[in-house]
Amino acid sequence: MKKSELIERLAEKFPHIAKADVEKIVNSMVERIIEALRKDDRIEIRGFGSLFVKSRKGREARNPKTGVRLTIEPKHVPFFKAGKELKELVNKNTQGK
Amino acid sequence: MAVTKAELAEIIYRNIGFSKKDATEIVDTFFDLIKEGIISGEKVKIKGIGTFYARSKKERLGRNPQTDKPMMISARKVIVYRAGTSLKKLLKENKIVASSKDDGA
Repeated sequence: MKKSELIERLAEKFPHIAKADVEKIVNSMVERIIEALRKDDRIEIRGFGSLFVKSRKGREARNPKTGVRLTIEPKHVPFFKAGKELKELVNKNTQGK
Repeated sequence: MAVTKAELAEIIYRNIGFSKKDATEIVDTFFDLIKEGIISGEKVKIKGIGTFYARSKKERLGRNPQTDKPMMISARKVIVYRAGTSLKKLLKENKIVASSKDDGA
């Protein structure tokens, strides 16, 4: 499912809102999420999960093929931790009868 | 401050101008649809953020770290998130990240 399909499905559930507006809404949510991550703020959505940035320290490494030493710069990587409800729901289909 | 559904609804309500009720419902539904997608086995790709999907893990032998007893870890599904290239790039170029943490938590 791409963002455009998500917008499509969302628009179907809100027939009184124009699709163009649904698109605007989705884009503003996505923008806010990106902005928060850039500022190192967490996004916490109950039942879904949280998105946050983890910092990785820089380190010395070695190219295993050539043996050449190189330094890896410190970096920030986005991370998602699924919420309890989502974890349970995703396992419900396979385990529970 | 962490971004919550309430804040996202507030932004929609204030900046785009829908009723609070609509804004709240649409934010809820947005995340519900992503959830439904993941649960039904779809890869959900949100441009700018990344991809979410469920991956199956086989049953394996693990160990209780407290008692050191071996135990079977049942087959399960885990949710995988892969950040999109654009987001990774943004965070890489972003130098303000470290500074904003000092005044917060």
